[in-house]
Amino acid sequence: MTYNRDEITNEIITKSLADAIEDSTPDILKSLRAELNIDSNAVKMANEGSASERAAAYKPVRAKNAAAPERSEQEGISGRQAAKMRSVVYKAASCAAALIVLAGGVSLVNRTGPAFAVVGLDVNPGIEITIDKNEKVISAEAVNEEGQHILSDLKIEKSNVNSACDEVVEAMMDEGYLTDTSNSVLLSVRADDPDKGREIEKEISENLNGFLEDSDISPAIFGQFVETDDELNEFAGTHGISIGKAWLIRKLTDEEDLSVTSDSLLGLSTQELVLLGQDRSVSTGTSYGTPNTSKYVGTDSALIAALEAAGLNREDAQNVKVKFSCENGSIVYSVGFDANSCIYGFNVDALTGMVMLHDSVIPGVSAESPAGIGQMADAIDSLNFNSSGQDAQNNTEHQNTSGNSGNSGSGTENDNNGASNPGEITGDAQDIEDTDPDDKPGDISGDVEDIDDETGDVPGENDSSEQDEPQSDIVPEVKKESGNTTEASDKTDSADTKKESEAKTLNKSDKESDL
Amino acid sequence: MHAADLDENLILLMANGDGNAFTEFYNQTSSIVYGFALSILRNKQDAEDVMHDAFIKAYTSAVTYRPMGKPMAWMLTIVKNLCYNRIRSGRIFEDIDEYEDAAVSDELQDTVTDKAILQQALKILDAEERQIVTLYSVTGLKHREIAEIMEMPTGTVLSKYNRALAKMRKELTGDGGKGKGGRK
Repeated sequence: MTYNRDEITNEIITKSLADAIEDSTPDILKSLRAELNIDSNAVKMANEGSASERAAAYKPVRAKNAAAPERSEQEGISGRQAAKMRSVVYKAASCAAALIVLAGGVSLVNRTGPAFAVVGLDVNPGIEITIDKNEKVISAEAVNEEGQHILSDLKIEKSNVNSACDEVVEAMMDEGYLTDTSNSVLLSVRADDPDKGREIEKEISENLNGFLEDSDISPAIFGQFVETDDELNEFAGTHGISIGKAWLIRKLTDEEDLSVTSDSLLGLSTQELVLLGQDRSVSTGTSYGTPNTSKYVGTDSALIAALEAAGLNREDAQNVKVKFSCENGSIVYSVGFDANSCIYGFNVDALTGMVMLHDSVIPGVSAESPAGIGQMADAIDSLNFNSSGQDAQNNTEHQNTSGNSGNSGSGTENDNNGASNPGEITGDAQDIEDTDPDDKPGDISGDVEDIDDETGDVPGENDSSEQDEPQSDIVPEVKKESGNTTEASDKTDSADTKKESEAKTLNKSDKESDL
Repeated sequence: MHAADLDENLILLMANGDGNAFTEFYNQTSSIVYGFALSILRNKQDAEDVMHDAFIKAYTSAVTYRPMGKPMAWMLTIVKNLCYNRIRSGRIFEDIDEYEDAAVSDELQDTVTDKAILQQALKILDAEERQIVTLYSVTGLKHREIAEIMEMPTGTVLSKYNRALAKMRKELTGDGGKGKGGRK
């Protein structure tokens, strides 16, 4: 074959190599048979019984190719020549079929088999690729306009699915959808055969990761095997999203820890959904890399903002947990910690670092205990939320401005996601492990000691009398309200004002150390 | 020929001296065997010699084959070992002139032939890249299956495969290829 240089693709290269090797392969069958003293008309049976059984097992293959070897041997035609003859016959048949198609005007002959699996690729463009059992592309469909734009410039039918996926993500890079900062690819595979579907998902995920790494992008591949049902299909259809995205939204809404509604998640980009998915370990497939979070303020800043809003110092906080969450269609840090026998929960805007919501101060309940979680949930359920932000009647009574009060629960639940989650902080403030890959040097564990040196704060600074009267002084009056930390701080008493001042000092020194 | 379609019963029948099974085995694997040998040795004569030795070895060693569902991997291991034995013994030619003319003549044209593409692969890719691309192209083996044969991590195979194709595209299109090579 001859190709125009400007049309060279990966598919052409691999096909061309195969054709060139096929054409240049020497035919040495005859000499081999002679050297091996193989009788061309007889089959030696060293072990008659077992050979018969094996021959029986071999029958399907033999039946398919039975005629050619026998005839070729009788007529003195080598195996390779016979193979080429079969190839000629096939090509002739294909030509005949093509002529019939042209003459009759019927649809083109489809050399791919029936649909075997559907591979979804979501970045922002959404594309679904249907493949046959040989992993060849039967068709590709766009889920949205961006996907249509990508597909309009591609021809991936009949390609191997890995090559097709490479081409799709390469086009997404070219068009600026997939970049260093927007680096997430949601890969979703669905198939009637779950084992095979999972195998395909794993293979494509590996391949895509290798391909993107070679393209100087540190990708976040979030693989999932999707089990569809009518409800999922309807949800995807109603909202014009891919089945894969619908599946991820379902998995996230199933997360008790997250407590978000599907409507809230629909407003998120693929990058943000993948971020939440990875943070909550809801993947049902193979994942590589972490979503880029450099545009967010970072987990340590979120914690500082929350502490500032609570009027606490870092060393006051125990069982600190910071995870990504979602509120009103935006990514937030859900910050939870214990302090002074109370549980605190905050949502901090991930982009601005402003405290959007804080709630759930439950005296005498540990965030680590199941009982604590239960009491926390009961307390939250009993809340009489008020969007006007009126003061709480007492420190176990709260208002809320949204239905996302469960977000605060992130600080109350035992973590089972491992330290690899990108936005998670667990443990005491003194030894917080910050795993945010995009945090700059000067992470929390190191900062705290530095800050202590600067401010002179020591753990347990609050005196016992204050702890005996949590409702008056030590436990800040915490309300659920939207707004920034300044608004929250205005509500604190003088003791808290002092702490707030200290927290601001901490915040400042932390940012300085970040710089 | 897709490697996954190779029936391992052919090897079991060869173990019993079935000449027809050997013929079928040869027909299904000869291009793969030759291509893989060529990708390692980069010389037609050496590749043909190894191809010959490999089929002799396969027929005479078929009795040692233990069915594990990977007949192609078994055959490719034979080929690889024979190639490396040959390299170690110094019994190899070092030229790739066989395909040189085709490539040179094509360089001035807007078109490129299969043969020239093969020549470019032999010329510009390193040994591992050649083997990976050849195995992927000719056998239809998956990257992880190639990784098993090559005894290297799947990620490395993927990385080398992608790098090799990028180099090929760059060489063949003359424009660096990235962002264009995969497009129609």
